[in-house]
Amino acid sequence: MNAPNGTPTYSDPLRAGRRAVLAGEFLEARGELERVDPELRASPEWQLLSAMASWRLGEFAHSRIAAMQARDQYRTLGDADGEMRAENVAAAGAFALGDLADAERGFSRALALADRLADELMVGHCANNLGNVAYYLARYAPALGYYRLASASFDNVASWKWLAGSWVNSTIVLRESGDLESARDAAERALAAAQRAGDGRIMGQALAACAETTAALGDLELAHVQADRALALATEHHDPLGEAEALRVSCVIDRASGEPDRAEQEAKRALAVAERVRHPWTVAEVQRELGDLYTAVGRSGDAKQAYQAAAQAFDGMGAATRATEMRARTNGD
Amino acid sequence: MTLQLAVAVIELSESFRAAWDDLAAELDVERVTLAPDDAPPAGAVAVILAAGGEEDRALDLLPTIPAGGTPVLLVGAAASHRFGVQALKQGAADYFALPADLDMLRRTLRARVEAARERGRPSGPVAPPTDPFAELTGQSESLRSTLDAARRVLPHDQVTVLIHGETGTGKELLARALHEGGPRSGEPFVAVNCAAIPSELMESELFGHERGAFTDAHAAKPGLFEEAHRGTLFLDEIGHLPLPLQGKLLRALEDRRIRRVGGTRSREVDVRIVAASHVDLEAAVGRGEFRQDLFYRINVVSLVLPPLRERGDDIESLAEHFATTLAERYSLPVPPLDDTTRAALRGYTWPGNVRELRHAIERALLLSAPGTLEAQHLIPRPSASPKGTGPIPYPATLEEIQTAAVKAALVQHADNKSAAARQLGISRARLQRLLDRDDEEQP
Repeated sequence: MNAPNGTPTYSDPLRAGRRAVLAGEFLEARGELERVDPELRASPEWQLLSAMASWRLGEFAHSRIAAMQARDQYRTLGDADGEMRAENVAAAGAFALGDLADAERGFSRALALADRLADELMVGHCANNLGNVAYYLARYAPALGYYRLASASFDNVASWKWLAGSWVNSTIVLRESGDLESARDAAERALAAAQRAGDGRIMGQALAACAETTAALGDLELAHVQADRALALATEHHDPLGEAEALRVSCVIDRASGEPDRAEQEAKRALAVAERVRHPWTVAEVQRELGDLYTAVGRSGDAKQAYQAAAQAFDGMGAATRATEMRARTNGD
Repeated sequence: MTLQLAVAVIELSESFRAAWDDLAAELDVERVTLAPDDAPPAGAVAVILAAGGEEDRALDLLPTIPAGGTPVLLVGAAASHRFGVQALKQGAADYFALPADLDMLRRTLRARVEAARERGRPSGPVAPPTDPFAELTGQSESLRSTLDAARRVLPHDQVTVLIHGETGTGKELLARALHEGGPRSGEPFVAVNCAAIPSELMESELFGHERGAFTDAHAAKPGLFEEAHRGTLFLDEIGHLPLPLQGKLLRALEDRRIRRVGGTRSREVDVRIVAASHVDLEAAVGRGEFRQDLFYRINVVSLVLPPLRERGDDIESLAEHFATTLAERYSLPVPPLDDTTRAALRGYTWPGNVRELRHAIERALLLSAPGTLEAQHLIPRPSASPKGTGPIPYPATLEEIQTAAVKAALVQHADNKSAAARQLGISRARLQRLLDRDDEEQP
């Protein structure tokens, strides 16, 4: 059924909710799901759609519970496909809440189901999520293995946006591991996939990852241009997280260029954006950059405060190794 | 405008007719009915050939369906493996026996719909075939002869190919072209750089592992061989494979079966291998670093990619190609190559080959005024150390050089002594001693 302007409309709110979730319109999805008959709300599909919408709206605890209920119901019904999807969302809830052990268990189960069901796209998502868990825990080699699997899976189903995302993740891990040439290669793959996806947001994220790698390779002049372009793309495409990341990378480049005042301004802007969108990982990373910056210019009191804030944020996400590293820096190690 | 996605159905029988509407509604796509000689609409993610009871007729029809690049899924009632194999041989992308395989069919369709939604366009029909070697730009004799040889291999998808070439010459591009231009096109192409994987993890990366197979195996994980099933596995820098794993790779190639690390059952894999190396593998065999039997197994056809310095005018045509494609990436006007830039390109030896040239063009494009490509930006200046670090003194005493290196590393790592020590390859205590020595010398 189509409205006069050609936009499809749906009299069945469950179907409309499903469409809205798939289209990424989560507030609308929430509205449609609330219109669903109360009896149907106990169905696993309603629970799963509600969990997906809640996660995207930042309501992680609710999302996790709804997804777990959906998972249990799908399991009882013997619907492995539904169980896999619900397991993945439940694990994503655990991940966002900092329960990395539970997140890893959930993503692992979802990956095993996706593998059994030969669902390439879900293999990619689960592997990418497991890569993120390993990265948070500073386990770089397994993280890269998962990102490799994710990239292969996304490539197989021609899912360029997600492929670009998994290469961005690989770039970050390779750079942090000190393998700068491989990081540059991964960044190039991320940019190529983002270009094929025609998605300005992921292009901006790929450019930010590329810029930080370029800076690590010592070409600060080029890194500046890449970071500026990343920031412009994030702003143009209303991607606050991308904006925060591009500003953080600019801070790193300006610090390396001997421009501490500019670096501090950029870090503070990045922090404000990351706090506004409630993204604790970016908050932690920006605080760490601020700590490094203050240390470099001899403001040890400010550095200590920044490292403590970073440690606290990492702790909240279950990233204990990284929190410990921040505390060590607090002590001047 | 967003294209309406659809599942197209050719109904040879009325069995399971209700299922098509249900599936379309569930996936939120249109359901379109086709005659056997109709081409699918632009938004079709798959063509279902519904053959319950008409399986033999479906097999005859399969090669004649004008599906373009859209996969044809044959759906019947015969739960026979042999029939499924026949269907695939006749051109079906997959076979499903209903009602037992209904869930599997649903997942397959859902994956295609989701993939199409994510990339904002349907999965087919695909664009008309283009030259698979189009990305390997150049007219030099050395490149042309390699590509001529590669074209002759294209139809033979079981032939293993070994590509030789220096780093950055485009080995992966050539491997992908062999895949895209051959019978396995449309199936997975999985590239793995053996040099980038720690040797202790290589086996689990290639063959996968079961949960608990080793300390870090928190979850079961399929390997890249499984990911490449029915397609091509590109093993770049195969010379980096540890010797014990070379034997396992050889067995996998011979038996067409793999076993995950920690697993008990073997899995069938149909994978074409294209391998590459920048080192002389035959010499590695002579040194006992590479298994002779594996070398002969992978070296069925050998292709050599020439280094850029031996490709003459290709340097300029490649530079123009990159300037055009990268300008499109960054939404910049395509810059012309002026005489100064051309001279700079010709006057450099490009030890990093095509990859280095590409980076150089990208750098110059981003740093030059829009619509220009300034030669001064082509090659990064050697003094890439961050400002404020100061140069490492020379000539100088060893102590002075050590102190300067420590200070440079500290600046680079924001005074993080542990990180600076790691970079310098010394202990943190030693770094502290070098700093203390410097402090003592201050007036």
